[in-house]
Amino acid sequence: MRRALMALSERLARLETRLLQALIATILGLMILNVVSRALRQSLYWVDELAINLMVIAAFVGSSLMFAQRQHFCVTLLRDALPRRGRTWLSLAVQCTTLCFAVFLAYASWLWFDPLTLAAHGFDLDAFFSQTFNSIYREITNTIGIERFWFFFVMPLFAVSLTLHSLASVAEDIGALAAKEPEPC
Amino acid sequence: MLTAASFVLLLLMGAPIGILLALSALVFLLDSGNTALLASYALQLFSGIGNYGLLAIPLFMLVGEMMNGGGITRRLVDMARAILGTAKGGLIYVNILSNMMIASILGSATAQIAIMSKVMVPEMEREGYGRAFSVATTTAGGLMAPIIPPSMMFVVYGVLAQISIGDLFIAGILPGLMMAGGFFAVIFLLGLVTPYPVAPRLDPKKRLAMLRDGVITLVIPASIIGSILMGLATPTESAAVAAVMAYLIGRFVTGEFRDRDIPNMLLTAGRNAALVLFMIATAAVFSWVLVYGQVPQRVAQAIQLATDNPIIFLLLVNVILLAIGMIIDGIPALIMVVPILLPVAGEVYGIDPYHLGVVLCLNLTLGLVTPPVGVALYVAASVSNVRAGSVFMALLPFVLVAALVVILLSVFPNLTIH
Repeated sequence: MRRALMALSERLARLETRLLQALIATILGLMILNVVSRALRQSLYWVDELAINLMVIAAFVGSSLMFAQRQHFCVTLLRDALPRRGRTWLSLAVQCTTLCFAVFLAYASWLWFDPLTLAAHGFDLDAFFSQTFNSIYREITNTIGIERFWFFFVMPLFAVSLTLHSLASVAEDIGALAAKEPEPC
Repeated sequence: MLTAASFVLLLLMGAPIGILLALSALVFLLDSGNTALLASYALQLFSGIGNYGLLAIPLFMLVGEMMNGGGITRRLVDMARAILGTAKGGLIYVNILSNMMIASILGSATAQIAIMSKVMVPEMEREGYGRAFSVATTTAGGLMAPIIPPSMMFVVYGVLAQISIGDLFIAGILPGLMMAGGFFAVIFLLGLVTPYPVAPRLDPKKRLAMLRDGVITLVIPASIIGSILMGLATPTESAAVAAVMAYLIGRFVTGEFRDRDIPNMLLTAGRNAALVLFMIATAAVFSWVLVYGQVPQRVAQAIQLATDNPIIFLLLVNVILLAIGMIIDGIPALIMVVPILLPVAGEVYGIDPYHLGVVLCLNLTLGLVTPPVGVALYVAASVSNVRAGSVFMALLPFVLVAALVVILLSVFPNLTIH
């Protein structure tokens, strides 16, 4: 179970790596396109909005990857003062905290997307809005012309990937404690 | 109360700063009974970074990677050496000058210190300088990165404060020059006490070649400033222009840039940018929750009891920030304090947000090199394999000068003209 979780997390991290590279390259390309098109007096009005949305997606994809690699900024004063085994226990507590956040985010995304109510209204977006006043499916991007929820989808996906990565980290720490191995980070 | 307790607990546990902010916001929502806001939580997290100015963060990180990969940093240092290198203690001035040049391209102190430590410290050691002193002067030079535009900290502050990042960059020019001038003065005075090694004379032909090779790399900062001034690019887009220039110079002028390294550069830039952006997203949620709880107003009332003078307020803030900066890294600390301090400073004390931004960023930059949590200090020490404590002692005169600049900026707002 532990190995399966860690292998799944690694696979997902590889996918996130490729996606992140593609997103950053696209953002750079879009910004260059903006400069060139402006210089040619042919400004493309949709570029900024697309680049911003791709950056938001890149931020959550990259963040998920960094959680998989345990590379986030944190204050390590207490951890540094602890013996090796104490550090592993503390690491386990931190990973459980991250897991709690991931599960909460999944719940918050569920509330936001409200798929059950949407299904209950036969996926009729107007009826859904009249009933809930939740405009998630009605918001259209200003310049790209597509619904914003396509970009919003990164939030539940981030919640799921973060859940998987933190579960794998929890399993790794429990394994280290059980085997009395040095902690993984 | 519960929020503060969970905040401190998570901080001590070593939870990632982003998780700490996100969960503290959640605890506040639950504790205050505002559970209706839970449905908007994910939207707030998404919208917190849906800002045009933040595009500069991944792009400038990419520029740094490309400059390194293309051997551009090395050439900038050589050029500074050709200008100043033969003077007594010349290599230290070279260190500060090349750091100024790199600071006008990069925006992150930690990134700059990591890059420059690899280049400058072995060079200074070869000429007879002590390792700790070499690392200290390089670290001092790196402190200018968040002040001399472009600056990652200014971008983050500009987004949080919703003010013009371009104007903020301009406000940072004079303080950056003051800091560089102060550092030059420290080097001169230290040289009176401990004579510096004399640099070997440079062959005129070699000197000319170093100048020639270096001048071409100045195209990068020139393209940043030029593209903004000519109206071709916004400050954010100028980072993309700089990336293209770094690629072209590295590929066709220095010939050191390898196309196969591009995926790794994209990945490093993306990962580092994601670290910062995730914290900004969670800080946005934290700030949103604080506003609901009227926390800034309560803090304002408490501070107003202490003083109604804006200068004393700023000096008080400086003392608090210096303490915060010793424990928390620069950008995370900025993200945590701006939502509380900005409304108080603006609405109660009438402090210009640009002035506040420069003071906050410079102050928190000092935290990057002060123990116990001085990320830049540890980066420099580990890159050069020297004890952080001995580096800090050698760095102390530079830190004191930078602190003096912070005090001057706090007392004289006109120094942050924009």
